[in-house]
Amino acid sequence: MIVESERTTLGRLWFYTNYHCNLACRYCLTESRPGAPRRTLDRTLIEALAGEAVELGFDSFGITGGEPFLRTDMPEILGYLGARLPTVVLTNGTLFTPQLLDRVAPLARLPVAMQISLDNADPRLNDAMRGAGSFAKVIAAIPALVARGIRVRIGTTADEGTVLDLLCDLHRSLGISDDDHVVRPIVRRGRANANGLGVEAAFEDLPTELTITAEGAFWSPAAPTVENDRLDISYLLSRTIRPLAGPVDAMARVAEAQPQREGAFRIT
Amino acid sequence: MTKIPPLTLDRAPLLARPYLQNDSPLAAMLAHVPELLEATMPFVSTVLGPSHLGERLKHLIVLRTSVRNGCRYCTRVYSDRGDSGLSDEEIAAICAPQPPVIRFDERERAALAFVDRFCSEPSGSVDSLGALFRDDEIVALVTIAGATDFLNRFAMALGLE
Repeated sequence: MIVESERTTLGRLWFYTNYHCNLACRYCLTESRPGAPRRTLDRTLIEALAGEAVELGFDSFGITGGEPFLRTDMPEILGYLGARLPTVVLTNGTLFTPQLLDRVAPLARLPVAMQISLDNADPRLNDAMRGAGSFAKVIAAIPALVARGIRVRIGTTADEGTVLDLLCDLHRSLGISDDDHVVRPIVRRGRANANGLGVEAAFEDLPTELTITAEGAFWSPAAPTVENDRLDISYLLSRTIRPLAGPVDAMARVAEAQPQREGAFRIT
Repeated sequence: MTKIPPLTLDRAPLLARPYLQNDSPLAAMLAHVPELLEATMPFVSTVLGPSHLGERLKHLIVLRTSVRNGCRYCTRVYSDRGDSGLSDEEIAAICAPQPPVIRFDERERAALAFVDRFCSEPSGSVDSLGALFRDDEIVALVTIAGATDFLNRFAMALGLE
């Protein structure tokens, strides 16, 4: 007998909406930067996949990149996804102009969270990793989003220089609770590998969450990384992403053959 | 010039890796699209594997199709007679512009003639086979020649070596 409470879901479905970024963080998994190949995921495709995902039993959506808010249609995409399932978008938090804040304000009515990257309470150390001026923009954006009723989470990519106590004091002062602070290590893939940063991540370490990019469906949001301008397809499940049942089936077959171990890296 | 690199085991997608154990250039290229690889390899293995037509006739069809299509890679691979039962002289004859038909029996000559027509104009290419082959054998002949035709074009377009 299947007990309702024991039913498993497919978890979160991720979309890499684009690969370009206004920053060029030293540990970026995808070598994102201004001028990087965009690999843009078409909005109508995202919406079609979202509908299929609901039918198939996914329980939430995630958006990452690149910097998603370089896309002018990101507020609309988030509105569409958030109206269907809880959605989190990973953003560097540096693009929230008054105009963009006005456009995202209606998302406060939906289960949409902005997960903003903030690595260090020391602006100098933070910006050394993430780019000059990024700390100040983030510190301004967080309370502005919170004031509009939008849920904000802080994503910290930590290295040995990260002083978590100070960082936690900072995010609390900005109105972000400890429950909404995610700390993860630098994963040695993409630009982090080129810069000799972070920890090695084996296949078993990567979170098992189906991830859609413009170039196919992948095993994990930590999988479709870029190094030397080349997309790593070693964790590619299929190039064909619709119907979504195809990649879901491929993921199930991989999972069956290669069970995960405890302690996989958290993305959110 | 576009040159697509075949994938090595360490760079290939997870579901492609079981197919890359045998140094197959076809699999190493198809690994770029794992869902195509997973469909194509079993198909190719079945079509070019043990056949009720017999190893000799099947080998003859594959080699002649490859010769006619000008696929150097497949011609080289199938010029190894392996377990086909074909002699080196017969292999050389199949590779000739006009095979000396005296070397082959009536069914083999008909199959060679079918392949030559199939590679230039598939319509009507089976018209003269009915007297020598059952329906199921004709379907198998066409499937083997057709699969080989696909492999030839794949290999030539992507520069398999």
